[in-house]
Amino acid sequence: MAVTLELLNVSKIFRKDRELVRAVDNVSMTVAPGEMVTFLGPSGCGKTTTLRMVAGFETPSGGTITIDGQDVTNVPVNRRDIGFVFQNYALFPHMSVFENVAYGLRVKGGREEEIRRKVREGLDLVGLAKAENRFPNQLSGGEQQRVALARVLVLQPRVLLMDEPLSNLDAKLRIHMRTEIRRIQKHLDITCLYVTHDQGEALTMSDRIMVMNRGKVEQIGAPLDIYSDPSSLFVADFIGQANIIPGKVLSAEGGAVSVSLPDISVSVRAVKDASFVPGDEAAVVVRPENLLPSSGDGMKGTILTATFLGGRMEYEVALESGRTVLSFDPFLPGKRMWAEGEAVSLLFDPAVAVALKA
Amino acid sequence: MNRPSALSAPEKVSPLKRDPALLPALAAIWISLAVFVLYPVLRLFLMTFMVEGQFSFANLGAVLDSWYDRQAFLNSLWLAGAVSFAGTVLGYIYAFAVTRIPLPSWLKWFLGAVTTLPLISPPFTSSIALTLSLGPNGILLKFFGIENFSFYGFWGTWMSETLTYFPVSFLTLAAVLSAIDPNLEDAGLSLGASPGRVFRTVTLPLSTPGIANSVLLLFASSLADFATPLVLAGHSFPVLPTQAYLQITGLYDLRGGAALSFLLLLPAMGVYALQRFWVGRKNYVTISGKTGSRSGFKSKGKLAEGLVLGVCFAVTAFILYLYSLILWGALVKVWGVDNSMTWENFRYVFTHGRKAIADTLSIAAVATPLGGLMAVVVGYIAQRKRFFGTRAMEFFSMLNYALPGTVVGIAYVIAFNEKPILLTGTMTILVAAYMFRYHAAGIRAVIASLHQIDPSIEEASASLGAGAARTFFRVTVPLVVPAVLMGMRYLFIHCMTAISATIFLVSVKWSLLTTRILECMTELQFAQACAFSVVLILLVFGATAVLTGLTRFATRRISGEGGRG
Amino acid sequence: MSRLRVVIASLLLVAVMAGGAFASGELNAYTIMPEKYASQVFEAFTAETGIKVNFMRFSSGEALARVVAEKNNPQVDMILGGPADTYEAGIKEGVFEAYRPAGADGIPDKFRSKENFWTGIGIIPLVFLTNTKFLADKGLEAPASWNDLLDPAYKNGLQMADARTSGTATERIYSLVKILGEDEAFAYQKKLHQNIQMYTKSGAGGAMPVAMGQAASGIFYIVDALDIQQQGHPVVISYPKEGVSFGIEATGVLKGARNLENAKKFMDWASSKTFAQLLVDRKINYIPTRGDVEVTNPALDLSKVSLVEVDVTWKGQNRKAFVDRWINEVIK
Repeated sequence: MAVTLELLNVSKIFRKDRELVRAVDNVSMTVAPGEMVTFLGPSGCGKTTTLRMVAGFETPSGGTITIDGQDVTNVPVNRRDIGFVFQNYALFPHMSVFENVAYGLRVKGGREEEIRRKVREGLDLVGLAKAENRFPNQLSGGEQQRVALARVLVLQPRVLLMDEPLSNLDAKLRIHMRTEIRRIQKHLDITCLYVTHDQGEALTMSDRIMVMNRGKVEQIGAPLDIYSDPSSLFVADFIGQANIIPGKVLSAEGGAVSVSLPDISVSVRAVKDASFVPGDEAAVVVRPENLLPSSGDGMKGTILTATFLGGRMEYEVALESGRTVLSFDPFLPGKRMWAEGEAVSLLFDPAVAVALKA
Repeated sequence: MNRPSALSAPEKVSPLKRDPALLPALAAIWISLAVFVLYPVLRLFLMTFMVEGQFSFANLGAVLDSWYDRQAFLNSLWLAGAVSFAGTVLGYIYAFAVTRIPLPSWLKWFLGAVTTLPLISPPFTSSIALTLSLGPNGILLKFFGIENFSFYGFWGTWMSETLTYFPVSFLTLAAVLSAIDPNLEDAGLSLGASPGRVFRTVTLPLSTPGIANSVLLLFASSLADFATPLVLAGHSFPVLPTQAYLQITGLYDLRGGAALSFLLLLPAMGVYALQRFWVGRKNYVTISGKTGSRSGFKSKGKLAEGLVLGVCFAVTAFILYLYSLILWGALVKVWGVDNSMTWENFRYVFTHGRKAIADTLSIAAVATPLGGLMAVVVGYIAQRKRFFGTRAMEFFSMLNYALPGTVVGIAYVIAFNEKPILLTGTMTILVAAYMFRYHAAGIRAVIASLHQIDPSIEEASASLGAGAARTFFRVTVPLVVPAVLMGMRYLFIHCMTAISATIFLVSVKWSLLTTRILECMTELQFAQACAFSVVLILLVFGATAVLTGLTRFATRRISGEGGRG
Repeated sequence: MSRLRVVIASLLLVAVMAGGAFASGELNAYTIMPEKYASQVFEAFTAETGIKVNFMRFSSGEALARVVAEKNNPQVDMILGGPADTYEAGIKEGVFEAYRPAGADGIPDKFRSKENFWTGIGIIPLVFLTNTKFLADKGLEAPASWNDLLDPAYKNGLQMADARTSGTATERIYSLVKILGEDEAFAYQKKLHQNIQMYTKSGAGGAMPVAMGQAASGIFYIVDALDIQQQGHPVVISYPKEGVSFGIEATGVLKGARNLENAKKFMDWASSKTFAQLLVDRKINYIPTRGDVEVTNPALDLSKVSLVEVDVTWKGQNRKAFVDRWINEVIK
């Protein structure tokens, strides 16, 4: 049932103010049947353009897009058999919820009872069975979002494309809808591309994440891999919070590299496909939850701010080099807390840190 | 289920190829624009600048050499300036009263309704009543004991045009003023500014684009107005449109008329360019009659409010007085001599004027839907399908609107009076003259409303499998229906009341109510002219009420906004 | 898709829609004669012949401009009314078809075109029309000389027609040129201009303001002046002792008329005694050119009026020069 989606060397060049801008630069990837892949990146990185090319709203300047082995690069949107969920939902304001959901079915044709049945099923799936006679402007944002979802799902598209569908919802609803969308996608076993700039969304929902920056693919991988093994400083910084601590390579051997940092030297994993020689500049990525304050050895610094967040303490620490780092210390009653202005040493477990080329 | 991938080459695909329905639509629009906009203007230029097969400034030179025509040129500019200033001031006062002073809603409605009277009546209706009131020995002059007021010439024309056109300014400015968040004014007050200072430093600067727009609109309207000066300006205050008309009708001088209308075209195009590239970028001018109200206005100071309301009520009363004079004139046997009531004048209108009424209504009935359709298609292509030529298409669709009516009328006479396109004496020429001139409001409204409808709505339709035509008719059209209806209402009103272009185009087969009224006035059938005017106003009122009702209905279903929650 | 095609087809249809066909059994006319008279004339004609008439009213200048402009594509078959000099101007443009109507013998030669391009159906002298209340207020008699109108009492009180559009106005100039000589005539008009309140587009345009008391006096064709008087307005009609010229109200067939036979039928009928009697019976205040009907209205008895004969050909030849001179000397 579910199909493969493949992008091969897809590029998009825009002309803007007489200059050519490469909005999407040579993107290639394969989405497995039933897989959910998230395009993640800052705004303007080309993720939405890529999605719109897959949908057929934009024509690639180069490269091919295939769905289920069929080249669809120049097939018009309405013949691609895709479902697209818009950031602003794009519900037809002059049609009722029922008519919105029935729209695509009516295009396909079919008996009226059949259409009715499918619309009801679709609305049931998103939990809006009772709203079918209402108009979009009578629905809340979350309800509108679910109608938009139902509207494409009833067509059983080969590929489901979503363009930041949750960004207009409030925080609580957003978290609820994440699981809801993921549940439905798995339940229907449908190949899905999902564009977001919210890393939380990307990490919780996707099978794989494609991180994009300036039109190029930075890294493609499972959420865990991307988090623990960012292949570039950009990815490290963009996914989760990261302290990037510069240092000098002392020695490199196999997958391990020994780096001299302010006050300490550590041996950490080198990022995949990177080769270091002694004397190279390196950057060690340490997640804040791995960087803990103590009064013993470690990188010397001064607490700038200390914030109590319930489950943990957040410290902003100025290292002696002037660089500011973050440290998250799980809070337990009775634990030593540091006050602003105190001198502190920072230490981390080298096993979960990674060295990148600076 | 492998579909043939016909278009495999990853080359550029033009928008035409993606929307096959676009090509015939574009062809139809371009052909009709070429015939009814480009060709007549081209012929007008040829008539002005070609003398015996040679390019020459002789015709224009002859006009510029004539002191009378030079005077007419200067008078036109001066009159247009005076009308646009006075009309905008009056319009602002009205707009301010309706949007910024807490008035009961029925009173706002009433003020709005009265101001629509000049908008929907033929241009010289108020001239009749004004002449009787303020002309030599006029009722009001006698009443106030004023003597030696020279009404004919600048003053009469200026007053009549100001009264006729200030409602346009009112509607423009009311839309702008009601869009200014009252919170901004409250903020000013809370920072310690007096109401007067808040007006000067917040409200007025924020409404500047609207004011500029109104000034330009009124300037263009007055510049192009032909009927009012024809009746009121007289010999001492010649203006270009009437000069061009007299040149052609009086002196059988088509070349001179063409040259004069070219002279008129220059300032008109200047105003159009200013509006488009300076003000038009910010504001879409829509004659919508919408005067939004919000609650919680603070008092602007008793004196200021009193002054504003005083002006409004005085002007409103004056308009009502003028129109009741017309109604009175239509109902009495012989004005001033035999004041007994009679239906005789209306009987005359429905017997002798029946053909003119039927003709006018048929022309309006044909032009209105066609113009509405044209507005949707042109507006849609202009706003949504930006590619080579759409800008030019939008420009030419608006060109006849920007040109003064006299210019269009003369150009049509020159262009369509001989082969290859022989149209004089037909209904087509009248329909085309109205349609290509007054669908501009519809196009603008459609563009503005598409502007507010996110393109994703149409993309959604395509992604759900609908083709371009289905998307257009099922999604786009229903969403722009309120805008189209508004444009159609505007078109209809002008089909019924405009005269400047079509006075050159009427024929024995197709006559118009407006030209009949003008004839009645020149033939001393004053009572019949009044009766005709009353009937015309009632017809327009009725038809616009229907169209307004439809607009309201359509708007309510869509609730204005497109897509966003 | 198909709906879009229909839409496009209808747009194209409008673009190419051609002129309507002209049915026979019809007659299309421009009338310079006021609509209220023309409608009665054509009604009577239709009643007698069964030929339906479509007509439109224009002032003489407009009507002529139109037929000249439409020369290659005539929209109408004939013109009814309007001064003969307008027809003479039209002959120069080659817009008229020569036709000697059946009743021509009953009409004196001087009221007919030499080449039969037009036929006179009525004559109308110029008159002074003055508001009686105005006269009473100022203690004046009705003007009896051209010079009476130069009296400062009439300051800003005269309304008369604009020479650029109106045949009445050009008739006024012909009268003056014949009585005073050309240069004197324009000098007089320049003086008269001091008292002018407004030049009107149509010949009759000033008559209503005189009737309503908005203007004091003016110079009009008798047909318009009598109409005002018969409506009951307080006005008096008088004649200048120096004399006035008169207009010949004419009618003629246009070259290329699509309903040529019907137009000729109309010419025959308009030159007949029946028509002349109709003018008298319906109080259409033209003095018939035929001598064989008795004029009953005493106001139309011109035996005591000094009438100036002006050759129509001369009028036609000088019209444009006089109008130009009027624009450049009088209203400047």
